[in-house]
Amino acid sequence: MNVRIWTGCLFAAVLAAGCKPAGPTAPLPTGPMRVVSLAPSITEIVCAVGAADQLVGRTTACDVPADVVAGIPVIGAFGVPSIEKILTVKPGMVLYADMADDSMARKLERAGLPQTRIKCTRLEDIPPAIRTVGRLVQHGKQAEELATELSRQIQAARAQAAAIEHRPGVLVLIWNDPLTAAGRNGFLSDLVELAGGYNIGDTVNRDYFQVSGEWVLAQNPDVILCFFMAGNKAVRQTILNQSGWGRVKAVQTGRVYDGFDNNLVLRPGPRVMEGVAAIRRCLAGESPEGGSSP
Amino acid sequence: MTHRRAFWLVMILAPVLLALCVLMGPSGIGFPDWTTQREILILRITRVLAGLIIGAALSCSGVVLQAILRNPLAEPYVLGVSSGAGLGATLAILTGLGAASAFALPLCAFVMAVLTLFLVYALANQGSTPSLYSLILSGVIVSSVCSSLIMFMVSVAPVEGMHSILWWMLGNLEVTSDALLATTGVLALLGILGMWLLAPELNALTLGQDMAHHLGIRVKAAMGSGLLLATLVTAASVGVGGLIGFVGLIVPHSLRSLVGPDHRRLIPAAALGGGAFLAVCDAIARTVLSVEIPVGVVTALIGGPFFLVLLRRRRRHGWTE
Repeated sequence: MNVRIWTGCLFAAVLAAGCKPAGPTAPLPTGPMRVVSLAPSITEIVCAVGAADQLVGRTTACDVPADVVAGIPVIGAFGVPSIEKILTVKPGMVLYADMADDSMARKLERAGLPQTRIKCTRLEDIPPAIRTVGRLVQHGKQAEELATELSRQIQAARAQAAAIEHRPGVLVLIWNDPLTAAGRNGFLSDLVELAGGYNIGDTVNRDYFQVSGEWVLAQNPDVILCFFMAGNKAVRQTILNQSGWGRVKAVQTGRVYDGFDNNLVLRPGPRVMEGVAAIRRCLAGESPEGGSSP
Repeated sequence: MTHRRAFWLVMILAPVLLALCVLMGPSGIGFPDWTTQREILILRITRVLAGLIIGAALSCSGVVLQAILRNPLAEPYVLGVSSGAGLGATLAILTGLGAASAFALPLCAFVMAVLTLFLVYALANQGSTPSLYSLILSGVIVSSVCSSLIMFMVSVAPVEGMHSILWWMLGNLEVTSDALLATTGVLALLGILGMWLLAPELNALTLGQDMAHHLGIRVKAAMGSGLLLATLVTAASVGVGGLIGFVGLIVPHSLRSLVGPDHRRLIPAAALGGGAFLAVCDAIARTVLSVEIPVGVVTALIGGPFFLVLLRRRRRHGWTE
């Protein structure tokens, strides 16, 4: 019995002994809304509406704009933030797009963190997302201007694409092993359409799906876009040498493109039209950065 | 050191370790200030509590299964409970049920885990007391069937669902709801108390079913209730924390070599020791890197070498002092 009492005392003593604050204590939030962004696209939107100084937390994946994010504390990886680190920066609002795990929203709520999910997965989600973020960070006017301008550009690109008579069939690969292509439900399908092509993966009702060589041969794409391993120069050659793909039109004509800035085309954010422009250049037979065909 | 002394050492050291875990976290090492960092303190305490509850449940369940199955490789997941729970969780995530309430996913995992045990027991049971080999074999088979079903569903799932399932399987002690943690805690406490009451029967069962029978133990009833209790607490903890490996294998073995094979002492020691072990692993998982490491990785990395040291020592000195 004695031992049990001792155990209790020890427990209490250890608790009491450690009574010093953990880490720096942030001052209580006053003034403009302090926000934490849990997605790179949202970080870009917050900065684009001119609220970069209100951003008090970001993920390891938030890398644009580079000079701004360098000074902002990291609160975890994309989709798996550390709730404790979010609490230390005392945000007025946590903005998230998608989480690695359904239960994350519930965990934020349990910690008493105000949160807003910014739906931003398709092209048409981006202007409303900009407006919502702008309203939340009290930069409504800038957000409205940005969203209107983006909508106008999307409209213009759509009109331009609609005028094209023969849209090239595009295979959009996002990974090579296993070969994974963009389906109808993804953001990339929107971009290809806006750039004046059609995504041959649109027949599949998924965001992304695994493709077989046989399927690629049957669909016979005119162009293949590779959005993976951006720094790797061998990507294009690997696709050209893929065994059994010799009869694919894109391989025969050499219209296989790599070297994209993958953050532009894979991130539904304010710079989306730059991604569309890069794809449009490829469909026109140039390299993604402009200039002659590879 | 005698087993008796080792037992009291574990019982004293474990609460101290649990308290130390509260001092660790990704925002810095130290005790969070009560006025300005109360949320952080509460967050850490609930996480340590989750570690205690889940660690205790898995360790005690491992002790009981090793005693009943008389197999050193037995652990809480050996009878397919983990795969069954995984299947339940996968179904909950993919049908969208998991998003409905904080209890939905754990409940699905729990129900499927218990159903899996009944299936395994029914497959192994042919009239008389089920043989240990058929129990383990049907556990392995049911487990692989469940795993294949999970793989199949993951392969056709949309990307978000796939991520959710993967993260769930890696295990995490961040609790989604206090009510859920409290329910699990009560369930684990009752289950562990039940196991402790079964300790004399478990001691007899380690001698073998025949010997236990001649000692006057009702073997089938003792085995059945032991398996059921072990499954219930495992299923409850898996529902909350996901699949956290190694705790239920290593803690029972380590503590058996420390406090001795008597289940009357082993079960309380496994409860506190296992709880403290998992809480410490979780404290390390959330503190050492800027990004949290899955706690199952830490349990294996820390528990594995520790276990090997004990194993070597035991080979040199034998089981007894």
